[in-house]
Amino acid sequence: MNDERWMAYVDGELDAGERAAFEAALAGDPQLAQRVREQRALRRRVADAFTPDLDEPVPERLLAAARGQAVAAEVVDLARTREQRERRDVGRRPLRAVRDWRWPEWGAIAASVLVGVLAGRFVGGDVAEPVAGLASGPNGALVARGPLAAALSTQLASGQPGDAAVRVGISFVARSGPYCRSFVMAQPSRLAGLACREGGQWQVQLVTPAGHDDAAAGYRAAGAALPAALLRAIDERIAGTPLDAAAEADAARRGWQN
Amino acid sequence: MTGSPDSIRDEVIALLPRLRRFARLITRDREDADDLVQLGVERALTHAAQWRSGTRVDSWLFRIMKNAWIDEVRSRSRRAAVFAPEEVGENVGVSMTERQIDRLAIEKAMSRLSEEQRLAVGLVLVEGLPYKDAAEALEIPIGTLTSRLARGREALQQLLGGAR
Repeated sequence: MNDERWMAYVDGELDAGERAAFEAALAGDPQLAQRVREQRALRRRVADAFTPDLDEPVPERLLAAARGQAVAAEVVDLARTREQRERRDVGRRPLRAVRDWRWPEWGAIAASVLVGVLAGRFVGGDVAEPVAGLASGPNGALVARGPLAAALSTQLASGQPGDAAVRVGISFVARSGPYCRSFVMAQPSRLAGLACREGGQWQVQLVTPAGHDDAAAGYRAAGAALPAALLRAIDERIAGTPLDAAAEADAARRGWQN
Repeated sequence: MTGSPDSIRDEVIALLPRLRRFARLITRDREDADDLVQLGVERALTHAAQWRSGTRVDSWLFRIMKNAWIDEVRSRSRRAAVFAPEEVGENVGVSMTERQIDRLAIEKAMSRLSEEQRLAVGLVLVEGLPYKDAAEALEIPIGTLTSRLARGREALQQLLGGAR
């Protein structure tokens, strides 16, 4: 029995006669029956996993595009959409140095490269401390400072004030040893990131745009809405499972030393 | 289906949630996904005359998006940067509910498929298109579709099988 046959059966591609013949063959072939069961379960599992996406509210810009309201009868190219978004965002960013950041391009750059680029910008920039909470460390790595560092050291995931400037997400032990914590900050723009406690500092592993406000609201409710780059960064590092509330509080008491 | 611009528009609006879901499977980045949907929708409406009455609007839009992705969006996507390949069977335990954990495992497994396999799996298993429509959307023969589908499934089964 070749692949195509069981697959067509599982995918509902056989007509009534073919189906009956296949089912007759299935009855006498436990191995094939097992395969069909597995593949049916796989199909259902994969489909179910992505079904919740359909319930998410559609952004206004996409509705406008579908109504033909965006840029009438003109093809909008991606770069321009992005420029517009950046222009729109500029007003909300207080510092000139920040304006030059192109987060969208950086969102998925490997952490080491990103840290290098950021550190370079900070050192060469005309603003001493361009972003509250981020600064380049002695070896060129990016470390958390100020409110971000304070939140990472002291804030527990449960019982954070709703308007906290920095919200801490999950905490875990990395395979390489140190404690790591994910965070979302609102200023200078919505950023999500991951920092690990090494050498008495919070070393920032990655920062990435946290997305629109609706996505951010969803983030609090649903882990699936975390930026993909952040999820991957966590996934690459995590040993075992995230700390539960008790383990998190315990680690905080010990100053995140293990 | 009449094929008038208005009726296409209504159908496109109704399809937006599915277009976003498909775009996320392609781009694996939520922002890129919405950019791709916007581009696809604008192109579709600009070229509404090219839609053949009696064919499915969804697979037509999937095809436009697939082409937009390959021709231009992919190269400047946030995903263009290369990540180290993830390890198989690694412990996933990031989110709260079992469903979210499973979603993560599935996204991760999907990320290990080739792009061709992922598109085939996305259209048939997630979007539920018949082979014929999926093959048209990808502009490949049905035999090519089914062989990509079989290989993609085999890989998914290996990565996910037994986990549940």
